[in-house]
Amino acid sequence: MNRKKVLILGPGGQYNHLIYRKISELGHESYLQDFNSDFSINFDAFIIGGGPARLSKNSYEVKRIRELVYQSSKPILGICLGFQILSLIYGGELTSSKPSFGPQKIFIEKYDALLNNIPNSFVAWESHNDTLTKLPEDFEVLAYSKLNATKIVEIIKHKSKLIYGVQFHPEVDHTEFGKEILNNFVNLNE
Amino acid sequence: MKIYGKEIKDYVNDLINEIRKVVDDKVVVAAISGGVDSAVASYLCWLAIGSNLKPVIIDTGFMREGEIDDTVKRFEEIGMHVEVIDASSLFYEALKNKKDAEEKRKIFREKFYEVLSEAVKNYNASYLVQGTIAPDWIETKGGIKTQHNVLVQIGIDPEKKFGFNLIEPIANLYKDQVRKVAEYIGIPKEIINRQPFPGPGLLIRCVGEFELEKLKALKNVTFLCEKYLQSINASQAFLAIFKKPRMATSNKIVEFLKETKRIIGIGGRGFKTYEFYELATGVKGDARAYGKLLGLYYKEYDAFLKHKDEIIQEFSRILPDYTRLLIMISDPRPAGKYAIALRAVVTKDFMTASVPDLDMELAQKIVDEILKDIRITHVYYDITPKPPATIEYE
Repeated sequence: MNRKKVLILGPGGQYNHLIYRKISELGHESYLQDFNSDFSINFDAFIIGGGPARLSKNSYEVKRIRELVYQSSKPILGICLGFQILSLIYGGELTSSKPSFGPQKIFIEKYDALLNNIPNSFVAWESHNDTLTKLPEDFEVLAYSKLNATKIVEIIKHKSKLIYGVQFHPEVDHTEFGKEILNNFVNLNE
Repeated sequence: MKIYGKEIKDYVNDLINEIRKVVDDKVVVAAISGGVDSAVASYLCWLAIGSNLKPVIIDTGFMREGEIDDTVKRFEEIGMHVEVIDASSLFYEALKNKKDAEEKRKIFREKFYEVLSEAVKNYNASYLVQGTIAPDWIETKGGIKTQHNVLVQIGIDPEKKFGFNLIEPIANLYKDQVRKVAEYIGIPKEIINRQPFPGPGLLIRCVGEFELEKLKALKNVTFLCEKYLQSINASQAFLAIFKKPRMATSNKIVEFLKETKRIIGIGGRGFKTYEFYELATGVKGDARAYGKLLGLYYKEYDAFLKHKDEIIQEFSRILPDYTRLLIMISDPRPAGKYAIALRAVVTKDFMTASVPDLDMELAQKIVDEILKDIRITHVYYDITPKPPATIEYE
């Protein structure tokens, strides 16, 4: 395994320091940086973490990450708010009527390198007020959860770039196979 | 064993060397609480500077029965003499009749550091070492709740305000990592395995308005249930006290009850809903949520427990102003003015927490003990995970 240099951008969420912890424990060089400070793009992979912001397509967070998406061809993973930021960059839409907190069952719809060795359903932990209702352009759904009969998008992947988003928190201890998902992500380019 | 990818031996040595470099020949006061975090932080300092370390424990009046004496004894075992500072009347006076969770926590923090800065002056010390860990500053910085031991991270300069500098050797660690370090440096097992107890202690378990009688009732039932609480299969299990809630309903509560009945597959009558007078702290989407508490009664309450994850998702969706769902595990009795909530969680790092299944026999024993105190009228089991709740109520 190659030791990777991973930059985590944290927009003020509760679990961003846990992303830092998990990436270090996986044996990689992990850097956690405040979302607002300038960052170098000289990294092997980027993770955009969670935060309390309620986003629209003109939000500061969206503009900031749009630059990164256009400048770098390295793998990018958005977690929770990071997932929503990436979705809005590519024309996705959010609603506030379907929040989710705590355990949620996730069902895999399509396998991908991100989901290597992950069973087709598992329990993940969530903490989001807003929920994706329109899939961003050029993205496909890898996994979903259920709200009664409705499918809620949980993992997305860009069809031609190494850009991924997960609505739940793979970095928290209660999420099953969370560390494996992070490990798969960091090793995408191998 | 590794901490952040570093061998634990090197990690600990680096911490000790760093403390030596910073402190030099100055005197350091250590704020001990009896828990593992402050034990590890002070013992690392002890290893670094020896008798220039002056450990103190503040009796805030919010500790459990016998806690101070036990702690002093344990530290004697590892060669550290701890000075007890009795400040309970100072804390009681400042907190009397205060209701708001954040106001209570902030007053506690002010008094806490006032007392410590006196101790620092008396010892002619330059530094205070404390056991702040990662969740403390993450939650305080994120505005979820004010932890009593976080200053620098939110822009308060302790030197200017209280006359000392802070040393926080384990501020980067989570509880499970702290316990590994504790084991490695030889902290007594009783301290390592002790369930976490918050700095402000029973103050934040007297939810809402602080009154001495409420505190006395809580101390009493906590003492009565101690051995049963220890035997719940949980990382942390404790009791909190509230005013007796009132029966209440609303369109939204009716809608939620309808969904709950669908989930558990039991219809009909016999369900009651209660609304609490107090608010409790939660965390939703990385933001603080100070919300209402709903009590739910049905005679065969284990039906709720079996489906708690699903019920909680509906609860959050239908009742966004609420942060807690509590299941009544006693029969309601008319006498008494307080209600008790049993809170139990399973977690390694205390950042997320699940609610364990409750052994019905054990639950009955706990209810029986609690109802021995005639001031208590309802007993509940809190089934809200973190998120959307936090572990403590305030």
